[in-house]
Amino acid sequence: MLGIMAFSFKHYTRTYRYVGPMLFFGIALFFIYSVVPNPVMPSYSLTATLTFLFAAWLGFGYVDAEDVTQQMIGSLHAGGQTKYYAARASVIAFWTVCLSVVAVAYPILFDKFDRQPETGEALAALIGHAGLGMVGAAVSYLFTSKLVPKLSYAIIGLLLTVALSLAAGGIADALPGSLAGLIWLLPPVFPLMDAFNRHEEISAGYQSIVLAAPWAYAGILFGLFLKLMDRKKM
Amino acid sequence: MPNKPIVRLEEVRRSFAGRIVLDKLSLEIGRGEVVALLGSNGSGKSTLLKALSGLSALDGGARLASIPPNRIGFAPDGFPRLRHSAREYLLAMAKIRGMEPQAANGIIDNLFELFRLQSTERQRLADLSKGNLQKVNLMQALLGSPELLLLDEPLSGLDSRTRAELTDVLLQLKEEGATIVFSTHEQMLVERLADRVVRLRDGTAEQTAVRAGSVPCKIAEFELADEETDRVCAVSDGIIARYRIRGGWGCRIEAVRCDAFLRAVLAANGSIRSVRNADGDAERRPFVDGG
Repeated sequence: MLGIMAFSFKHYTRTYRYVGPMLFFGIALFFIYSVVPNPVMPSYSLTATLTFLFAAWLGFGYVDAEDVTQQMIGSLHAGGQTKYYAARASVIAFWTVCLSVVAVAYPILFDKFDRQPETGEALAALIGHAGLGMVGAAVSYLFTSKLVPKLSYAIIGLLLTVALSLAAGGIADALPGSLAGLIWLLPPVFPLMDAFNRHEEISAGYQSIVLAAPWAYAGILFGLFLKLMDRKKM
Repeated sequence: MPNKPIVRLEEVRRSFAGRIVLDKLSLEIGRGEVVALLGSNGSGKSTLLKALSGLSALDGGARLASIPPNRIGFAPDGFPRLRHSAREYLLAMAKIRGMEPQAANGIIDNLFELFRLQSTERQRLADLSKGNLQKVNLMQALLGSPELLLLDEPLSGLDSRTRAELTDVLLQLKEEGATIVFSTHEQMLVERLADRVVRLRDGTAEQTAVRAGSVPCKIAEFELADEETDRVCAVSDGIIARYRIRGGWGCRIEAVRCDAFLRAVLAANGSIRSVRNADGDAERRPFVDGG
């Protein structure tokens, strides 16, 4: 597993596909915190959404970075395709955790807030950022060229999914009350954004649910991805 | 049929975009056997190799293997030009296999020596010549002493010297008892290496024959323009090897296919010099590229 991760990480970094998302993520973070002071949790709400977007970009570039032939070779050396893709998915999970750590730590280290966040807030922010990052990466995985061969369809599909995720609040308002629960079928970006924005109003129980939801959602998507890839094979 | 199949396909079906590539194809590969897959471009050779490796999803039928995936070495066609050096890449693949670095380095050293590639081991794969890249492809397939070696057109596009070098390596592996399945258009490789020939046509293994020497063969010598020879050989079945002779061509061909082949030569305005029964290895001559 570690061997696959090491190779995949090295291969990905040498493609320089990470430069775009990482650079723009850094620039976005810099601009968000260019004016001080900032409210803690609403700022984290915004940067968590950014983490989702940039992780989706990062994941989309990563999943097809490796040549199909190399994926075949790697799968055989690893002893199975599922093992190989699971290890590769772990690499992008690592990248998204790195993004999350930067997004959470940067405003604290450089004193960009109107107050120092409490430990619980920082922890919740980290879990939320990483969770949304995982969701972004997992969503992008489903638009790999092996599952959606046409690039234009893949890009449109991914952008549409991202847009629907961000607009889930508005969609829920537009739906009849009995159908509002359907927004939980969408990537749980909006509920977390909303929960961070209304941090002081919501219960600890609800906050736990919205923090756990992205991880569960990402887990289901990664599982679905591995299942689809196993059926699809090479 | 082989005694102890290392992998077996039972009536496998595979299609791409509605086109049937493998159609209820059954095949057994025995331990220690060397099998050549022949067929025109798009006949399903690569798909069959992937099916044997277990990497291809099957639309129907079954693949039964007596070995796990990491006991299979696969050298696919179109090996990628990565930004890793040859040694770095092979070490990474060895690590993925779970090999200890020290053991892996020793094995890789031996492979570099076997393939005479020591001088380029620090070069990036992206900068290697096609021949050397193919050698690295074969080297990665040999990591971990696989029980089954699948080679997709191992000599494709290589110059004659590299082909000879790689053929020697493959012959050495055969002598060591390796089980090899390879696809090729190179009659020379079939003649020198294969125990059995499987021809693919319309998604089925149209003919499975034991190699020359066991199958009755004839030697036909004829005169025909080079382009016409290429064309006739490409559409004729049963050709084991083709070679130049003074002022013409010679062919070792399965006896049952010989008449049809000779008719095709005559139809292309060629002339037949002689036809005789092949008497095994003594009759073999230096070969040229197959069509």
